Amino acid sequence: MRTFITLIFFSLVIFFLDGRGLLDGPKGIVQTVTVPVQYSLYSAKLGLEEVFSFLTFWKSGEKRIKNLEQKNLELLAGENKAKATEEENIILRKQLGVNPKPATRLLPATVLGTLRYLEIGVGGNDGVAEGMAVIYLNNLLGRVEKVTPKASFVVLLSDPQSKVPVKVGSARGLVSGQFNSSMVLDHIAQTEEISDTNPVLTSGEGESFPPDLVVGKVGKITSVETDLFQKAEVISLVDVNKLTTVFVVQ
Amino acid sequence: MITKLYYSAFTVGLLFDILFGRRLGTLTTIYLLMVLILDLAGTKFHLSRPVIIAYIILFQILIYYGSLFIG
Repeated sequence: MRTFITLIFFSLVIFFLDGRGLLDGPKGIVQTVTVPVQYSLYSAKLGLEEVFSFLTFWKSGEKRIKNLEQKNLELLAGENKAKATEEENIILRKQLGVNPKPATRLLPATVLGTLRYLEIGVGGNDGVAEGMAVIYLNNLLGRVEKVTPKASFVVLLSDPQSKVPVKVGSARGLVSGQFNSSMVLDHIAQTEEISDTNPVLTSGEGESFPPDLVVGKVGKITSVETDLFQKAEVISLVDVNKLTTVFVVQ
Repeated sequence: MITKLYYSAFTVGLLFDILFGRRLGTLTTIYLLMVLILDLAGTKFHLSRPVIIAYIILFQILIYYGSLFIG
C-alpha cells in the first residue's frame, strides 16, 4: 500500500505541475524521442486503413469515379474562370491604388495523431502560438489550442469548443462544432437564402481566423420557418483522419 | 501486493500521457487505481498473479482504444 500511496502522490504532483506548465522543459526533451514514434504509429495506422478501404472499394468505386470525373470537369471550368477573375482583380487593385493582400506565412506540420485534438509535430520552438489557424489546401481545420516545445494541439472545427464566424454568399453566421463529429451553421437570418451551391467561408470577423478560408459546404437545413434563425449542417470537404501534413498560418 | 505492477502502471501511464498528448499524470493515476482495484480483488478472490496481469493488460487495451475513440 505504501508503494501505491507514494506513486499516486507523485502522479498528482506531476498532474499539478504539468497543469501549471512547469514541466514543459523536460517534456520537450522527451518529445524529441516520442514525436517520431507518434508519427510512425500514425503513418502505420493510415497505411492499414488504406489497405482495408481497398477491400470495400469495389462496392461503390465505379460510381464514385464517374461522379468525380464529372466534378473534375466542372472544377476545371471554374478554375479558368477564377484565374481570369484574379488577374482582373490584380489589375483593378493596381489601378485603384489598393495595397495587395498581405502575404501569410505557412508553416508545414506533420500530423502525429487525431484524438479529440489534432496533434501536429511543430511547437513553440518553431514559432507556433496559441490561436493560430491550421489549414489544408485553403480549408480551415481549426485553431491551435495548446503549444508544447515540439508539438501543438489543434481544436478541430467539429469540437464543441470551436465557434467560427462565417459567410455563405451574402449571409453571415456562426459555425459551431457538435460532439466532435459534425458542424452546425447557425445565426443566419430567416430572410437570407442559403444553398449548397455556396461554400461556407470564414468571414474574418473578430480576427480569430483569416477571411475566405473554406469551412465546408452547406448540407441539410435543419431549422423550420418559425425559428428565429436558420440552421443547417455543414459538411467538411477534408477528412481530417487521413491527413499527414497540414499548415499553420503564422 | 505486486509492487512491480504499480511501478509499471506508473511508467506506462506516463508514457501514454505523452504519446496521447494528455496532461501528464492523467493515465498514471487511472492505471494506479486500476492496479490497486485488481490487486485488492485478486487478494479477496484468491486470483493468481498471471490472472491479475491478464486483467491489467485487458484493461490497458480497453483504455488505449477508449482513448483513440473518445479522445
